[in-house]
Amino acid sequence: MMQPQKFRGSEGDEARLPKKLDTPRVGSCKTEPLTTELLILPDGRILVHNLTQPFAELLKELNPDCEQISSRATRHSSLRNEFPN
Amino acid sequence: MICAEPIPVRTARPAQSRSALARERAALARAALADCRLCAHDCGVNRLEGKAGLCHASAEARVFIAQAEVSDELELVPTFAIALSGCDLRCDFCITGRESWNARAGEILKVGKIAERAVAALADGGRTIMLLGGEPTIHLPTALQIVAALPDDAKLVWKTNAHGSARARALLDGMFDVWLADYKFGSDACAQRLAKVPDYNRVIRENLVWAHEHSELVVRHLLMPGHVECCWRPVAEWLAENLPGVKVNLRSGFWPAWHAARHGELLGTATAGETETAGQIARACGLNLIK
Repeated sequence: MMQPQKFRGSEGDEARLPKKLDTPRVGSCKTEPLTTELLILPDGRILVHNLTQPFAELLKELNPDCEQISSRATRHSSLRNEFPN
Repeated sequence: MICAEPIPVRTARPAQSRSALARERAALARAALADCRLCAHDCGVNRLEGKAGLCHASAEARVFIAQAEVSDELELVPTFAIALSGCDLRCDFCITGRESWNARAGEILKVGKIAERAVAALADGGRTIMLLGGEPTIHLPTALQIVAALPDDAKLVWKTNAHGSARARALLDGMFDVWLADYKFGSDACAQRLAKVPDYNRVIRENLVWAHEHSELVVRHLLMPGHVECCWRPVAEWLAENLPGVKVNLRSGFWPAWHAARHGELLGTATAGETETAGQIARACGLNLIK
């Protein structure tokens, strides 16, 4: 589980139950969906579990200044095939 | 509680590869299921005949996650994470409670297929392969079969609750490069109340000391709301005194998962004040914190 980091979020958002997000993959791994769980807190923080490279990239776009995510969002060649077309 | 004696296992012959040794150990571990004492619960049930101990696991491992992830320690990622269903603990706040409390969750694990995917992940830039759960110790035969199917130079991580027995440790000796071990509770009372596990600290400390002597060790502590003084402080102080310099990852991303609502203090996340205090404790103890 990642440390909590503040992301830009709507004020007043309700904390939600963790959501499992499946990201379809292409290429040789297309039959194996990726799973990341996240919890959005009312103050805009997002907690994530089972963070995958595609989701790290997405979170980095939401908050490029978050060091916790940026350090993990560096593109690895292993994950090229995990991005959908 | 009486913990099982270690199984007499050979260490590697000079020319023997890790994979060859793992193959031998997997057979021993499989036989050990007839009198299963792989974890400190020391049930002694015959899992080969379908009897279930406290973990409720059968003799066959199932997997609920197998994918490349980047959320673990920076020095270990990207890692190909292989999460086996079932656990010997019953942490009410478990973030994977649905699969960890149910050893029949997920899919039947096919060793050849999972090893093939892990090797492909390494070839494409992955740094490590991580076995986790649930708790992988209860599926030691399968875990060792996976090790046997992997290249000898692959960096392997054993992500564990550190509640294994001496018997399990003997079978694990030399198999994994890194032990990534949770130290959840500094208080036995909290361990009993939140995870239904007795004698927690003695068992965990015994495993951590062993792991530190036999492999690289990273200790994790998930900061729980309301448990800074009772759980984190004694953990930090014990680590400082007994495993000085060991890598420690203080995780502050607790969320109220699974049955956390059974405990009033676990209904939310750790406060900013608690997180700050926890950091101060770590610094005062001189811990070697990593991210």
